[in-house]
Amino acid sequence: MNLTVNNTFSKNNGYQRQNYYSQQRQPVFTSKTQAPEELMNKAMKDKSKFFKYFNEKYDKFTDFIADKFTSKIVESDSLMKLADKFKNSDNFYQHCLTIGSVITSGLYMQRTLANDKLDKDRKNTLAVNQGLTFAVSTVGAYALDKYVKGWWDNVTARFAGHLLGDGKFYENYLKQKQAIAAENKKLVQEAKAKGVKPELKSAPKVGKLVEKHNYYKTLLKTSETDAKTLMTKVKGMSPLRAMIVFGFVYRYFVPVVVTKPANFLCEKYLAKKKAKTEANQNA
Amino acid sequence: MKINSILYDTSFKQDNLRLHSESHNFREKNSAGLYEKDRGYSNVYCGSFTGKSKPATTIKRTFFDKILASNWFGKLSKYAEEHNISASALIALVLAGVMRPATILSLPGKEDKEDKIYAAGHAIASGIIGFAVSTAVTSPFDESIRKIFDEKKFRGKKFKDLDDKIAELTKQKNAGTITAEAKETLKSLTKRRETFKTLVKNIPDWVIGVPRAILTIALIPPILKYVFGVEKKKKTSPAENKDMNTNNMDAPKMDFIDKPVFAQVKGGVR
Repeated sequence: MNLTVNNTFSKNNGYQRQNYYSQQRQPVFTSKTQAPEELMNKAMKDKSKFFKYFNEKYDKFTDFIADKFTSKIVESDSLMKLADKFKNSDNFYQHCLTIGSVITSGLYMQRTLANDKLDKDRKNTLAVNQGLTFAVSTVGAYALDKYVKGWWDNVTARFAGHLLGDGKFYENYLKQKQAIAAENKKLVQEAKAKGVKPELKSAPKVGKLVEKHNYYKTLLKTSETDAKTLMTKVKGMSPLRAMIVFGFVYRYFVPVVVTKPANFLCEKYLAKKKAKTEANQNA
Repeated sequence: MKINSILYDTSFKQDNLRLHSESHNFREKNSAGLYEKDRGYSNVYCGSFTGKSKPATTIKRTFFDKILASNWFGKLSKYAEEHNISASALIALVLAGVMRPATILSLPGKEDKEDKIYAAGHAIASGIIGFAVSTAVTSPFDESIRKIFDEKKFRGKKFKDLDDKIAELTKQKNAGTITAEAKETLKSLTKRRETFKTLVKNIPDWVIGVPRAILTIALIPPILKYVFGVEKKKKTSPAENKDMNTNNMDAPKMDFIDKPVFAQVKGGVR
C-alpha cells in the first residue's frame, strides 16, 4: 500500500515558510496577549475572593437560620400533623398559595373597613366586593388548574424526555396514559352495571417513570448530584403550573377583567340603596 | 506506507489556516451547540449515553420542544421547586409587571388615560416590590430548609427519627426484603416528608404577607413619583376640570426615562 502524500510540497512551498513566520511571530503575539490574560486572571482571583467571602458569610447566616429557626419549625408537632393530613392531596401547593392570598386579601379588606373617609355602607359593600372577588377568583384558579393539569402532565413528560435524552419517553408516557384511560372507562361501565362506585386507576406519574428510567438509574450511580438536579427539574414542573395558573388569575385576570365590572356593580348597588333611602325619607 | 510523512505533514499543517474552512477555535466557539444537537435529542444530556435516544433528525423538534430543551427553562423549573415563594413572585412580576400594564395601556378609551397610566405604573411597581422583597427575605430561609431536608444538617430528634425510619425502610426495599405493609409505610412517610417540606417552604410567605403588602402600599406612590414620574391626581369637580382643560393640561406621561435614576443607564451620545 502506498499512500501518495507528497511531503515535498509542504517542504518546498509557502506552507513551511508560513509556518516559520507564524512561529517567529508567535512570541510577539503571546507577549501581547499575556498581559491581559494575567490581568484577567488577577481580576478573576479578586472576584472569586470577593464572592468567596460573601458566600462564606451567607453560608454562616443560613446555618444560623437553620439552627435557630427552621429546625425549631421542623420539630413542630402541629405542622407534622398538618403535613400528615394533607400528604395525599394533589393540590397542597395550591392550598399554600391560597392561604397567602387569603392573608393579603384579608389585609386589604381590613383596611377598607378601617377607612374613616368612607361611609359605613360604602365600606361594607366594598369589603364584601373584595371578599367575593377573591372567593370567585380562587374557585376559578382551582378550576383552571385542574383543567390544564392533564395537558401540563404531557408537557412535563416531554420535558423529562429532553432531560433524559430519550425521544420515546413522551410517546411511551402517552401510550400508558391512554391505556389507563381505556381501562378506567371499562371499570366505570362495569361499576355502572353493578351499581357500585368504580375504583379508578390513577394516571402514570412522570416522576415515577423517570425513577424507573435506565438513564436516571445510571446517573444515580455515577453522579448523585446530577440525578437529584434532574429530578428537581421534573418535580418543579408541578409548582410551576400552579404558579402560572394562580398568578394569571390573581395578578392578571382579576385586576384586568373582574375588578372593573365588580366595582361597577358595587357602585350601582350603592346608588340604588341611596335612592331607596332618600325615597323613604321623603315619604 | 509513508506514515512518517503523514505525521510530519500534519504537524506542519496545524498552523495553516488555508487548509481548513474555519479555524478549530472558531468551530469550538461557534458550533458547539450544533454539535451537541447532532449528538442526540437532549442538549443537556447526551442521548447516545443512554443508548435509548434517537438521532435528532428522526425527532420532531418544534418551537415548543426548543423551549423545553432550553437551559433557561430547566433553570426555571428547578428554581420553581427550590424557591417556591421567589419563583411565584417572579411569575407575578412577569404577569403584573409586563402583561398587565401592556393590556391596560392597549385597552381602548382615551378619557381615562391618566388612570390607565397610573394603573400600569402601579402594577409594575407592585410586581417589582413583591419580587424583590420575596426574594430577599425568603432566599436565606429556602437555603436553610435545603440544608435540613437535603443535606440533613441541623435536624432535631423528631425529624431525624423520621429520616432514619425512611432510610431503614428504603434499605429493606433495595434489598428486596420489604413487606407489603412496610412498603405502604415507606410510601406514606415519604409523602409526609415531601408535604412537610412544601409546607415549611411556604410558611415564610404567610409570615411576610402582611408586612410585604403594607410595604408595597407604602412604597408604590414614591416609586411611581420618583422613578416612573407618575402621580395620582386628586379627582376634581367638573368646574375645575373645565379650567384645567382650558389651560391645556396634558395627561401625565411616564417620563421615567428623563429621571436621574435612568439617566445613568442611558446609552448613546449625550
